[in-house]
Amino acid sequence: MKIKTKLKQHNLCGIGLVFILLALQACKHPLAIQGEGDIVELNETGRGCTLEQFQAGATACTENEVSGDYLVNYRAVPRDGWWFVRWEGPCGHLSESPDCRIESPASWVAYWDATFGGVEIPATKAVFAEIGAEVKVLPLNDTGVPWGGNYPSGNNSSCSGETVAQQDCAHGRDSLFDDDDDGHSGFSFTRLDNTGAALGDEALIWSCVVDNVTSLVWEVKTIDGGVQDQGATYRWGGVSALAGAPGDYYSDWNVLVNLARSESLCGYSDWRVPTVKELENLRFLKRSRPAVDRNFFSGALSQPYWTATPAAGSTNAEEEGADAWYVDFSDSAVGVGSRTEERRVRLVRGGF
Amino acid sequence: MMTNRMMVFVALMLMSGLLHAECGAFQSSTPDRQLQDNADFTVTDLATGLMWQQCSLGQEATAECTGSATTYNWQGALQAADALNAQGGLAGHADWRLPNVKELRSLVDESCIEPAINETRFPNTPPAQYWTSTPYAYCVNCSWLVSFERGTAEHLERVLLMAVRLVRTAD
Repeated sequence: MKIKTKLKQHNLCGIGLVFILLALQACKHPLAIQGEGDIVELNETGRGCTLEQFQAGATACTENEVSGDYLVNYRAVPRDGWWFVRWEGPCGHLSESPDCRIESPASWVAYWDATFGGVEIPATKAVFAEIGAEVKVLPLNDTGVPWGGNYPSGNNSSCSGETVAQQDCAHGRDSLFDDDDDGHSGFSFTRLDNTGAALGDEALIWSCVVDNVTSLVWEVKTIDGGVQDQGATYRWGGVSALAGAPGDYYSDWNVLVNLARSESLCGYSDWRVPTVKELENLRFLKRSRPAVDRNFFSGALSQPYWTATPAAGSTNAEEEGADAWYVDFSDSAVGVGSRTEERRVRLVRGGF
Repeated sequence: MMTNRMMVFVALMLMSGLLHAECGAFQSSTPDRQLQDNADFTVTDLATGLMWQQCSLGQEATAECTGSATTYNWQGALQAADALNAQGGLAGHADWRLPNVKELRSLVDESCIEPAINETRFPNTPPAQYWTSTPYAYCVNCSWLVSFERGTAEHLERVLLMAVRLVRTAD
């Protein structure tokens, strides 16, 4: 015996009163794409929406009917020349992760309809943007190493050693601008107060440091126990993390980024977490722990600091855990580590 | 659907004998437009102003950089740069040098692994360790290297054998 259900509109979810005899009325979870990319379903349930399907108005995208459990693992995959920006709709809370898991068992569908009387589900939309044409200039600082090494062993106190004309100490800004006036060796920094005004060497308090070689402005950490304290650590993946790398993104560092922006630290509101190439450029490899000039970066610690750059190749992100890039200011190593590790963050803005 | 596509892709790559770097989930840090192919087996990075050998030392100067990269210990790597210059250099320049660790790291494309480099501009790069000219402060027989498996900067003993790619400052 069939029992008909009353449905308010065709695309709403509904239930049968008798589960055994009635199929659940199909419920639509549409998928949408902005820009060029695909929504791929990792569990191979046959769901998903390619760019071509979306453009043709295929029902796999516009309707994506669900009866019973809706358990899916979507991944937004950009086409060549495009990059993933964000999700909108049911996955929109996920920051910059391209992975979105939806778990709606059949019982939830029933509850939804009973409670809300059938609500149209907004499209699960993946937003992609085209890669720009500009080239980001990032001049390199030198390493700060003014001495040479011998082979197979031994480090000297001056620029002498094995085939020394080929060694680091014989080249670059360190050898051309070897003074300590505005930063050790070839570095050149300027201190800023909290309004962004440049300060001289006699300043006892400053809020930011400009790297005159790269034009980047760096946050100086504090020791006041507040949001900018040198001791604060975070998991990886909040606002300004580079979007699109499979795996979890954690919003821990949002409190720091949002504070710097809303309070206009040093007069700027476009603060972000640096890319790995920007952060490693601060490293001072002479013999320094932390490996950065503490005359300018007074709050620096010999610890690893996160960057905005996720690690590639995490195809088994779910099993192995996804990684991201960090710079370790104890030994100057630049490496990848688990996004769940708690590491420090130093904000940056500007550049060429 | 995606699985079938991936299987066909891998099969094609195996048949062509070229297994390429895995790239592309997020924005490249060394995109094609940033790396200028000078058509003389050198590539200029417009972001840093550095000019790089397109092929690693030991590979043939061909469009695919055929052959294997020669490996050297740290002393050999430093001397190999001098040797190249003494033989006339490359592309009309005789001031090539072993890059320092910041310079070699700048060539890494973090959106790729195995190798972590833009393979369009630097073909047939092995996912291997490459020497830099920077000695390491906390170990008297170690120097800095960059591993192009993932692009990390590390420090290891100078006696170890690693590949070499030379650099110069572009004019």
